Amino acid sequence: MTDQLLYLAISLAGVAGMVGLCALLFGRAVATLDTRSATQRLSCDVPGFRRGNSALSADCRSAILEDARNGAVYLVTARGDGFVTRRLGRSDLKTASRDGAALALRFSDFTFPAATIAFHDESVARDWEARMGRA
Amino acid sequence: MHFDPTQLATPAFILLVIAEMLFVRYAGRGRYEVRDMATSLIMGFGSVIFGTVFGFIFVWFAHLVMPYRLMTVAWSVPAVALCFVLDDFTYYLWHRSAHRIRWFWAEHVTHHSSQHYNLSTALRQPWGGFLTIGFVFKAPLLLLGFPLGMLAFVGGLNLVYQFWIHTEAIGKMPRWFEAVMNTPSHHRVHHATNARYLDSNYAGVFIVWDKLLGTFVEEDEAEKPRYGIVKNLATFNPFKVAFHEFVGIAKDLASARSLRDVVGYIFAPPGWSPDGSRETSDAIKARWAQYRNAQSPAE
Repeated sequence: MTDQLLYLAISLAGVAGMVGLCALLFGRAVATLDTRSATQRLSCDVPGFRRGNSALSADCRSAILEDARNGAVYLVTARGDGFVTRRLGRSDLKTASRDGAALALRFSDFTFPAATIAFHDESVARDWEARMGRA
Repeated sequence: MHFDPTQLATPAFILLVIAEMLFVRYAGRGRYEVRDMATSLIMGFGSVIFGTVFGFIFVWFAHLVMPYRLMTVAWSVPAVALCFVLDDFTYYLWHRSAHRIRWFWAEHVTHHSSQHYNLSTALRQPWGGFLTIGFVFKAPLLLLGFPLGMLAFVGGLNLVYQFWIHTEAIGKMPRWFEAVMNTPSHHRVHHATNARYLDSNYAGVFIVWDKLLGTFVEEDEAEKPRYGIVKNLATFNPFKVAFHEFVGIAKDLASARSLRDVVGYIFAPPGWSPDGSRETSDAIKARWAQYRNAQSPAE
């Protein structure tokens, strides 16, 4: 039992050491995007995607884009040094509420943390809140 | 005979991950991200714990099957070699099922959940094997008479082989090697979510299984693989990574309205839904092919 606990402790220390080395070598990457890179990413995830209206968050870490073909609304958001995309349809969202220029989104997908996306302009947030209601 | 190749190889795994990190940092080929790597290592660590705690289920299952074996194969070099090749074929079958049957995918999705492809990804191992009981794929080998210890040994060798192929640091291996063996290039295709690469290259050690059974896809220099899953996870939480698809199945079953729905939610390919509102990999590939043909009708 003592041997097993020692093995466990050494393994955990090994994991911590390797993560520490990774942090030392690569730092903590923060991905940012612009409308072009968000469109590129969605074009990969949604074959044939054609950008319609779009809005970039103030911190350049999230973007909401509309597919011009069918009006579907998508979110592209940074996670680590990469991005995750999700469709923002009625069945995908638990709630979408607005507070000034910020949109607060809660997702049906429990692996997707609630997100608050702050835009530069309140009218942008209002416009997308309405679009999501229709999507 | 108690000889665990995986345990013996662990120091080499650690040294190779460190070497690859240094290579990526200074040569700029490949990617590492701290939280992603931490998740992968914790998943690897946790899989050892889960394997230790629930390993008895496999042993129990083996002892249920073994009395019906056709013969008893004795330990010898040719027997181990034959067992290794046959075990790799059962790995292929399991792996193919793990991508085509949602129940097995619920476990295996863990390994594909990183958007990075480096040696630490190899260690991102599932915790839910005790739920899916994928080890039933080993039953034919037990029935043929291979001893349980030999199966564990060759299974360990298979796992050790698959470690080094999780890298972007190596381009292509010599042509003869690429023809027969699973390589970083072949396995990059397997981990890719690009429509053209979906559901291909299931091999563990010998890529010939894919070539024989029509699931081989060559890496295209013009289309760099994008790694991860069709609906990438937005979390690094190891418990969510390990069990999210099981939760998804449970939620779907709660909303099932017929026996067909129940069977489909468990055994149909990932992405299946009764009303077709979600997309399976076949549907994604069909949509992609349609889009590509529309873009270049002459091709």
